[in-house]
Amino acid sequence: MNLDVNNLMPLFLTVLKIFFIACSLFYLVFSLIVVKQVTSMTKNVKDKFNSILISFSFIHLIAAAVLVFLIIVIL
Amino acid sequence: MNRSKDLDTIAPDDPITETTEPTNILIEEPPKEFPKINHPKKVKIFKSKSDQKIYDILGHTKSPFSAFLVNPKIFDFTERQDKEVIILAVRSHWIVNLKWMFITVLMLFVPNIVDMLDTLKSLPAGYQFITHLFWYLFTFIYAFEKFLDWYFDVYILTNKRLVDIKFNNLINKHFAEADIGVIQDVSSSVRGVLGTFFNFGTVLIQTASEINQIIFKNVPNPEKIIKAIQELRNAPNCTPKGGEL
Repeated sequence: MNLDVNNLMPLFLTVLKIFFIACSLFYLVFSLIVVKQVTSMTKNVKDKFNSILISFSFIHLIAAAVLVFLIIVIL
Repeated sequence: MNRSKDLDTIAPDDPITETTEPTNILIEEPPKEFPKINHPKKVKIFKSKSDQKIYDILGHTKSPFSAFLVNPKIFDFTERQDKEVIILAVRSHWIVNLKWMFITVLMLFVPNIVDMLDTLKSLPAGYQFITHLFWYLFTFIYAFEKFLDWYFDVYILTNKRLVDIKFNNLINKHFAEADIGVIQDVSSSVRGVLGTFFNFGTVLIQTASEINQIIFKNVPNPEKIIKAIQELRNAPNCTPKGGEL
């Protein structure tokens, strides 16, 4: 059986795209957990910079959502 | 001679007739006295001699970024009881963060190295861009998680007890406490060049309670912490429980 690398490339890219989408969705869920945990931590221990940490976790969540969007649009 | 003030309708020589009808003159009411607000008087906290001695031992916190917070005003924790005063809140020395900071900086350069080696060149530009984006997000969350690990790993000394709050992997919370009265033995160790140079080490507190020991890891000024604990143990309001002091 003669395998041509050029013919395999689209298949590889499709598999890669599915892989990226799956990973980014997992990452989105993970970033949601991070937000939840940071909020919970800041409730337990109150300090000066808690609000900054919560903002960072939300920025991270937004970035994860943007990543999912970009993967769907660009790839 | 009285003259009219309304110069548009009355000639200067017209006699003035005084009207007895009431005019719409706004009479300024005397200013109402605002109700006095009883501002709460500043409560002066009179520290006892033993308290003052403890604060003398611990000194003052100069920076809000410090890992050694003496009598912090903003710091608090959920399990704090009423009338429980936080004397000291300690985190591990900032120097322990250098390792993950260094790794983070290295991680930031990985995409550049990959580009230089042309590893992803066979992939379309969009895939390369997404891979880089993914990597930078991963780098961010690595650093953020490490920072949170350090920031929320707190050892607290109050006027009643010792508290150890720890969060493992952002998911598990560990809380340990020991009353000042059940503390049996306190020891510390400063190890290595960095520990000696930056004056940080481990404080081991043996207790007579269910939790045998509480360990303050890599805390700055361990000798000050030991002295403060000893002073708290010797305080007149401290009642020893479950063992000789």
